[in-house]
Amino acid sequence: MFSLNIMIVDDSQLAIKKMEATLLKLGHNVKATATTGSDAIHKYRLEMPDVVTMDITMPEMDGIEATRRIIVEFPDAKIIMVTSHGQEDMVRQAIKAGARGYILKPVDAEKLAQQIETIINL
Amino acid sequence: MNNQNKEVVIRISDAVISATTAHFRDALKINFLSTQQACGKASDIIKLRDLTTIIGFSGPLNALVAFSFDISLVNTLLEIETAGLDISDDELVFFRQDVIAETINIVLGHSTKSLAKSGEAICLSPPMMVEANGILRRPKDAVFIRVSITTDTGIFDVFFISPAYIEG
Repeated sequence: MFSLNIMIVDDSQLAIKKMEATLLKLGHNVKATATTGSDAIHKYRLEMPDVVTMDITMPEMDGIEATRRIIVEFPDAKIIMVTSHGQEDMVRQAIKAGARGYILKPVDAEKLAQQIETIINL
Repeated sequence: MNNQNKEVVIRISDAVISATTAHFRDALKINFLSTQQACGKASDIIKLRDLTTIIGFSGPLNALVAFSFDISLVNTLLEIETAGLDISDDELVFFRQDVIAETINIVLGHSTKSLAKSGEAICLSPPMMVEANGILRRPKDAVFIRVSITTDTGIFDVFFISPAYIEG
Protein backbone atom coordinates (compact mmCIF):
# COMPACT_ATOMS: atom_id res chain seq x y z
CA MET A 1 0.00 0.00 0.00
CA PHE A 2 1.22 3.53 -0.74
CA SER A 3 2.32 5.93 1.96
CA LEU A 4 -0.41 8.05 3.53
CA ASN A 5 -0.29 11.28 5.54
CA ILE A 6 -1.87 10.55 8.90
CA MET A 7 -2.86 12.71 11.87
CA ILE A 8 -2.84 11.16 15.37
CA VAL A 9 -5.25 12.56 17.97
CA ASP A 10 -4.80 11.42 21.58
CA ASP A 11 -4.47 13.16 24.93
CA SER A 12 -1.73 10.71 25.97
CA GLN A 13 1.75 11.56 24.69
CA LEU A 14 2.71 7.93 25.20
CA ALA A 15 -0.20 6.74 23.05
CA ILE A 16 0.86 9.23 20.35
CA LYS A 17 4.45 7.95 20.44
CA LYS A 18 3.29 4.33 20.18
CA MET A 19 0.86 5.03 17.34
CA GLU A 20 3.53 7.07 15.53
CA ALA A 21 6.03 4.20 15.76
CA THR A 22 3.42 1.75 14.44
CA LEU A 23 2.42 3.99 11.52
CA LEU A 24 6.04 4.62 10.56
CA LYS A 25 6.67 0.86 10.56
CA LEU A 26 3.68 0.48 8.24
CA GLY A 27 5.32 2.98 5.89
CA HIS A 28 3.06 5.98 6.51
CA ASN A 29 3.92 9.58 7.40
CA VAL A 30 2.71 11.25 10.58
CA LYS A 31 1.60 14.61 9.25
CA ALA A 32 0.38 16.05 12.56
CA THR A 33 -0.52 15.21 16.12
CA ALA A 34 -3.17 16.74 18.39
CA THR A 35 -4.00 16.25 22.07
CA THR A 36 -7.54 17.68 22.22
CA GLY A 37 -10.61 17.61 19.99
CA SER A 38 -10.41 21.33 19.24
CA ASP A 39 -6.71 21.05 18.39
CA ALA A 40 -7.61 18.18 16.02
CA ILE A 41 -10.14 20.31 14.12
CA HIS A 42 -7.65 23.17 13.81
CA LYS A 43 -4.86 20.90 12.58
CA TYR A 44 -7.16 19.03 10.19
CA ARG A 45 -7.93 22.31 8.43
CA LEU A 46 -4.23 23.14 8.18
CA GLU A 47 -2.82 19.75 7.21
CA MET A 48 -5.70 17.95 5.44
CA PRO A 49 -4.38 14.47 6.33
CA ASP A 50 -5.44 11.38 4.35
CA VAL A 51 -6.46 9.56 7.54
CA VAL A 52 -7.01 10.50 11.20
CA THR A 53 -6.65 8.14 14.18
CA MET A 54 -8.88 9.61 16.89
CA ASP A 55 -8.94 8.72 20.59
CA ILE A 56 -12.43 8.89 22.11
CA THR A 57 -11.86 10.11 25.65
CA MET A 58 -10.10 13.48 25.73
CA PRO A 59 -10.41 16.64 27.82
CA GLU A 60 -12.19 19.79 26.56
CA MET A 61 -13.74 18.18 23.49
CA ASP A 62 -13.91 14.40 23.09
CA GLY A 63 -13.16 12.43 19.93
CA ILE A 64 -16.82 11.94 19.04
CA GLU A 65 -17.57 15.67 18.98
CA ALA A 66 -14.31 16.41 17.12
CA THR A 67 -15.25 13.77 14.52
CA ARG A 68 -18.73 15.25 14.15
CA ARG A 69 -17.31 18.74 13.55
CA ILE A 70 -14.61 17.60 11.12
CA ILE A 71 -17.18 15.63 9.09
CA VAL A 72 -19.55 18.61 8.92
CA GLU A 73 -16.75 20.66 7.39
CA PHE A 74 -15.02 17.86 5.45
CA PRO A 75 -17.55 15.08 4.65
CA ASP A 76 -14.89 12.91 2.99
CA ALA A 77 -12.61 12.89 6.05
CA LYS A 78 -11.43 9.38 6.89
CA ILE A 79 -11.41 8.96 10.65
CA ILE A 80 -10.61 5.78 12.60
CA MET A 81 -11.61 5.78 16.27
CA VAL A 82 -9.09 4.33 18.72
CA THR A 83 -10.88 2.88 21.71
CA SER A 84 -10.77 0.43 24.59
CA HIS A 85 -13.04 -2.53 25.20
CA GLY A 86 -16.15 -1.46 27.04
CA GLN A 87 -16.63 1.72 25.00
CA GLU A 88 -18.88 0.09 22.37
CA ASP A 89 -21.66 2.60 22.95
CA MET A 90 -19.24 5.46 22.32
CA VAL A 91 -17.99 3.73 19.17
CA ARG A 92 -21.57 3.56 17.89
CA GLN A 93 -21.92 7.29 18.54
CA ALA A 94 -18.64 7.96 16.72
CA ILE A 95 -19.71 5.91 13.68
CA LYS A 96 -23.00 7.83 13.68
CA ALA A 97 -20.93 11.04 13.79
CA GLY A 98 -19.06 9.97 10.65
CA ALA A 99 -16.11 7.85 11.72
CA ARG A 100 -15.32 5.16 9.12
CA GLY A 101 -14.05 2.49 11.50
CA TYR A 102 -12.47 1.73 14.85
CA ILE A 103 -9.56 -0.13 16.37
CA LEU A 104 -9.12 -1.42 19.90
CA LYS A 105 -6.28 -0.60 22.30
CA PRO A 106 -3.65 -1.99 22.61
CA VAL A 107 -3.30 -1.31 18.89
CA ASP A 108 -2.22 -4.26 16.78
CA ALA A 109 -0.16 -3.15 13.74
CA GLU A 110 -1.71 -5.71 11.39
CA LYS A 111 -5.27 -4.80 12.35
CA LEU A 112 -4.45 -1.10 12.01
CA ALA A 113 -3.03 -1.69 8.51
CA GLN A 114 -6.22 -3.57 7.52
CA GLN A 115 -8.42 -0.85 8.95
CA ILE A 116 -6.53 1.89 7.06
CA GLU A 117 -6.69 -0.08 3.81
CA THR A 118 -10.42 -0.66 4.26
CA ILE A 119 -11.33 2.97 4.83
CA ILE A 120 -9.07 4.24 2.05
CA ASN A 121 -10.89 1.92 -0.39
CA LEU A 122 -14.39 2.84 0.81
CA MET B 1 -25.07 -2.12 52.37
CA ASN B 2 -27.79 -4.56 51.40
CA ASN B 3 -27.01 -7.98 49.99
CA GLN B 4 -27.83 -6.97 46.41
CA ASN B 5 -25.33 -4.08 46.49
CA LYS B 6 -22.78 -6.28 48.18
CA GLU B 7 -23.07 -8.80 45.34
CA VAL B 8 -22.63 -6.01 42.76
CA VAL B 9 -19.46 -4.76 44.45
CA ILE B 10 -18.07 -8.28 44.59
CA ARG B 11 -18.87 -8.85 40.89
CA ILE B 12 -17.19 -5.54 39.96
CA SER B 13 -14.10 -6.27 42.05
CA ASP B 14 -13.86 -9.82 40.66
CA ALA B 15 -14.13 -8.51 37.08
CA VAL B 16 -11.48 -5.83 37.66
CA ILE B 17 -9.01 -8.18 39.35
CA SER B 18 -9.56 -10.85 36.72
CA ALA B 19 -8.95 -8.36 33.85
CA THR B 20 -5.91 -6.94 35.67
CA THR B 21 -4.41 -10.40 36.15
CA ALA B 22 -4.98 -11.32 32.51
CA HIS B 23 -3.51 -8.08 31.13
CA PHE B 24 -0.42 -8.16 33.34
CA ARG B 25 0.22 -11.85 32.66
CA ASP B 26 -0.58 -12.04 28.93
CA ALA B 27 0.23 -8.60 27.49
CA LEU B 28 2.85 -7.27 29.90
CA LYS B 29 4.42 -10.62 30.90
CA ILE B 30 4.42 -9.62 34.58
CA ASN B 31 3.64 -12.48 36.94
CA PHE B 32 1.55 -12.20 40.09
CA LEU B 33 3.28 -13.91 42.99
CA SER B 34 0.52 -13.45 45.56
CA THR B 35 -2.80 -11.69 46.07
CA GLN B 36 -4.20 -10.66 49.44
CA GLN B 37 -7.71 -9.33 49.96
CA ALA B 38 -9.05 -7.37 52.91
CA CYS B 39 -12.70 -6.47 53.07
CA GLY B 40 -14.78 -4.57 55.60
CA LYS B 41 -14.50 -1.53 57.80
CA ALA B 42 -11.16 -2.58 59.19
CA SER B 43 -9.28 0.62 58.46
CA ASP B 44 -10.08 4.31 58.32
CA ILE B 45 -7.30 5.16 55.91
CA ILE B 46 -5.84 4.00 52.62
CA LYS B 47 -2.08 4.38 52.42
CA LEU B 48 -1.18 5.30 48.87
CA ARG B 49 1.92 4.01 47.17
CA ASP B 50 4.11 6.12 44.85
CA LEU B 51 1.66 6.62 41.96
CA THR B 52 -2.10 6.21 42.18
CA THR B 53 -4.92 6.55 39.72
CA ILE B 54 -8.53 6.90 40.88
CA ILE B 55 -11.51 6.25 38.61
CA GLY B 56 -15.23 6.62 39.31
CA PHE B 57 -17.61 3.76 38.42
CA SER B 58 -21.26 4.47 37.79
CA GLY B 59 -23.95 1.97 36.89
CA PRO B 60 -25.69 -0.55 39.12
CA LEU B 61 -23.68 0.94 41.97
CA ASN B 62 -21.58 4.10 42.20
CA ALA B 63 -18.10 3.42 43.52
CA LEU B 64 -14.48 4.45 43.20
CA VAL B 65 -11.63 2.19 42.20
CA ALA B 66 -8.02 3.19 42.86
CA PHE B 67 -4.86 1.49 41.62
CA SER B 68 -1.79 2.39 43.67
CA PHE B 69 1.64 1.35 42.43
CA ASP B 70 5.15 1.00 43.79
CA ILE B 71 7.58 3.09 41.77
CA SER B 72 9.57 -0.05 40.85
CA LEU B 73 6.49 -1.48 39.15
CA VAL B 74 5.73 1.83 37.42
CA ASN B 75 9.27 1.85 36.05
CA THR B 76 8.89 -1.73 34.81
CA LEU B 77 5.64 -0.84 33.05
CA LEU B 78 7.31 2.23 31.59
CA GLU B 79 10.20 0.14 30.30
CA ILE B 80 7.83 -2.37 28.68
CA GLU B 81 5.51 0.21 27.13
CA THR B 82 8.25 2.44 25.75
CA ALA B 83 10.48 -0.33 24.39
CA GLY B 84 11.54 0.55 20.86
CA LEU B 85 10.15 4.09 21.03
CA ASP B 86 12.29 7.16 20.39
CA ILE B 87 12.27 8.51 23.96
CA SER B 88 15.37 9.69 25.80
CA ASP B 89 16.06 8.64 29.41
CA ASP B 90 15.45 12.25 30.52
CA GLU B 91 12.02 12.25 28.92
CA LEU B 92 10.90 8.93 30.44
CA VAL B 93 9.77 10.46 33.72
CA PHE B 94 7.15 12.52 31.87
CA PHE B 95 5.49 9.32 30.63
CA ARG B 96 4.93 7.75 34.07
CA GLN B 97 1.38 9.01 34.45
CA ASP B 98 0.56 8.18 30.83
CA VAL B 99 1.73 4.59 31.16
CA ILE B 100 -0.43 4.02 34.24
CA ALA B 101 -3.45 5.77 32.67
CA GLU B 102 -3.15 3.65 29.50
CA THR B 103 -2.70 0.39 31.42
CA ILE B 104 -5.70 1.03 33.66
CA ASN B 105 -7.77 2.22 30.70
CA ILE B 106 -7.23 -1.14 29.01
CA VAL B 107 -7.85 -3.17 32.19
CA LEU B 108 -11.06 -1.34 33.08
CA GLY B 109 -12.22 -1.52 29.47
CA HIS B 110 -11.99 -5.31 29.64
CA SER B 111 -13.74 -5.31 33.03
CA THR B 112 -16.66 -3.21 31.87
CA LYS B 113 -17.00 -5.39 28.78
CA SER B 114 -17.29 -8.53 30.90
CA LEU B 115 -19.75 -6.81 33.26
CA ALA B 116 -21.81 -5.57 30.31
CA LYS B 117 -22.20 -9.19 29.19
CA SER B 118 -23.99 -9.88 32.47
CA GLY B 119 -26.24 -6.87 31.84
CA GLU B 120 -24.40 -4.43 34.09
CA ALA B 121 -23.46 -1.41 31.97
CA ILE B 122 -20.75 0.58 33.72
CA CYS B 123 -19.59 4.12 32.95
CA LEU B 124 -16.10 5.24 33.94
CA SER B 125 -14.92 8.72 34.85
CA PRO B 126 -11.63 10.09 33.47
CA PRO B 127 -8.73 8.98 35.70
CA MET B 128 -7.36 11.24 38.42
CA MET B 129 -3.65 10.80 39.18
CA VAL B 130 -2.02 11.20 42.59
CA GLU B 131 1.77 11.18 42.63
CA ALA B 132 2.65 10.97 46.34
CA ASN B 133 2.71 8.58 49.29
CA GLY B 134 -0.35 10.19 50.86
CA ILE B 135 -3.39 8.77 52.59
CA LEU B 136 -7.09 8.76 51.80
CA ARG B 137 -9.44 8.93 54.76
CA ARG B 138 -12.53 6.76 54.73
CA PRO B 139 -15.69 8.82 54.32
CA LYS B 140 -18.49 8.10 56.79
CA ASP B 141 -20.44 4.96 55.87
CA ALA B 142 -18.01 3.99 53.12
CA VAL B 143 -15.88 0.90 53.01
CA PHE B 144 -12.53 0.08 51.54
CA ILE B 145 -11.97 -3.26 49.89
CA ARG B 146 -8.28 -3.71 49.30
CA VAL B 147 -6.60 -6.25 47.07
CA SER B 148 -2.80 -6.20 47.40
CA ILE B 149 -0.99 -7.79 44.51
CA THR B 150 2.67 -8.75 44.67
CA THR B 151 4.32 -9.13 41.29
CA ASP B 152 7.85 -10.17 40.40
CA THR B 153 8.76 -6.47 40.00
CA GLY B 154 6.83 -4.65 42.72
CA ILE B 155 3.57 -4.36 44.62
CA PHE B 156 0.33 -2.61 43.79
CA ASP B 157 -2.99 -2.26 45.56
CA VAL B 158 -6.43 -2.08 44.05
CA PHE B 159 -8.98 -0.33 46.29
CA PHE B 160 -12.72 -0.40 45.84
CA ILE B 161 -14.44 2.36 47.76
CA SER B 162 -18.14 1.74 48.00
CA PRO B 163 -20.78 4.01 49.45
CA ALA B 164 -21.85 1.92 52.41
CA TYR B 165 -20.13 -0.73 54.37
CA ILE B 166 -20.02 -4.44 53.88
CA GLU B 167 -19.88 -6.68 56.89
CA GLY B 168 -18.49 -10.16 56.77
